[in-house]
Amino acid sequence: MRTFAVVTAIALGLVAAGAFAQAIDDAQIAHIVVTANQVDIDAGKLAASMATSPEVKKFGQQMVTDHTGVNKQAVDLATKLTVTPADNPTSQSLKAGGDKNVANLKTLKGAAFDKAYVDHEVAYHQAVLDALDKTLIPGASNTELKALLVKVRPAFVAHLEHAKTIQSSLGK
Amino acid sequence: MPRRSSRRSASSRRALASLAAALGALAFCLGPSAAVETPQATTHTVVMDAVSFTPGVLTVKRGDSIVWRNQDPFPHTATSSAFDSQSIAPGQSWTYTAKTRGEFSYVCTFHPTMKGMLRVQ
Repeated sequence: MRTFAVVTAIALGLVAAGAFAQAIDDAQIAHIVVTANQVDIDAGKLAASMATSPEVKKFGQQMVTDHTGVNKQAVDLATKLTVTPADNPTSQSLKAGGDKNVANLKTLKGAAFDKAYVDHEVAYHQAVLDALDKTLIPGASNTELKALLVKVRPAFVAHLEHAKTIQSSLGK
Repeated sequence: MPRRSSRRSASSRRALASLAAALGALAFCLGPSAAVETPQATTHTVVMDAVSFTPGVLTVKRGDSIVWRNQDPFPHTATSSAFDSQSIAPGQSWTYTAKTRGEFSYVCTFHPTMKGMLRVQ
C-alpha cells in the first residue's frame, strides 16, 4: 500500500505538470528533467546496494549509469544555452515523491525490497514518459532542449520495458 | 640395397623440391592478379543512438569492418555469439572485422530491448 501511495504521489506530481503545461518555461523544464533523473539515480543507488536479485541489482546500477549520463547532457545543454534550471512545484513534487520512495524502500528487505523497487520503476518510468509526451516535449520552446527531450525519450521506453520484464520474472 | 634406396629417396626429394619451386613460381605469377580480383574490404558504420542500432540490419561481406559508434549519453554494447564489444562509452567506437559468414543477431547487454542483426556474406 505504501508503494502504491508513493507511486500515486509521483504520478499525480507529473500529472500536475501537465495541468500547468502552458505555464512551464524552458528553465523549469530543465529543472524537471534534472530532478526526474536524480530521483531515479537515488533509487537506483539504493537498489544497487540493497537488492537481493542480481537482475534487480544490475538494473539499479544501470539506472544510475544511464540517468547520470542523461543528466550530464541536460546540464551541459542548459549551460550552453545559459539557462539556469528553475525550481518549480513539479520538481518539488518529484523530489518529495522520490524521497518518500527511498524512505519506504529502506524499510524493506529481500524479495519485498526487490518487488517494491521494480514496481515503482515501472510506474515511475511510465509517469515520466507521460509527462514527456504531454507536457515537457510540447512545452519546450528552445529547439535544442526539445531535441534533447526527444532523444532521451527512447531511454525511458527501454527502461520501462526492461523493468516490466524484470517485474514479470519476479512474480514467477 | 640400402644405397639404392638412399639414391631413390634423394631423387624423390629433388623431384619434390622442383615441384614446390614450380608451384611457388605459379603462385607468384597468380598472386598479383588474384589480389586484383579480391574485392576491397569496406568499412560500415552502425550508430548507437536513442537506444537503437541504425541500421538495425546490416549486410556485409566477409573481411569487411563494422564500426559501432555510441552517440548516446550512456554506455552500450554490441554482443552476439560471434562478437562482444564490451562496454562502449559515450562518444566512443568499437570496430569488428567480420570473419565468419552467417547471420548474427546481437543486443546491447545493458538494454535488452536494443537489438540488431549482422549478416556476413
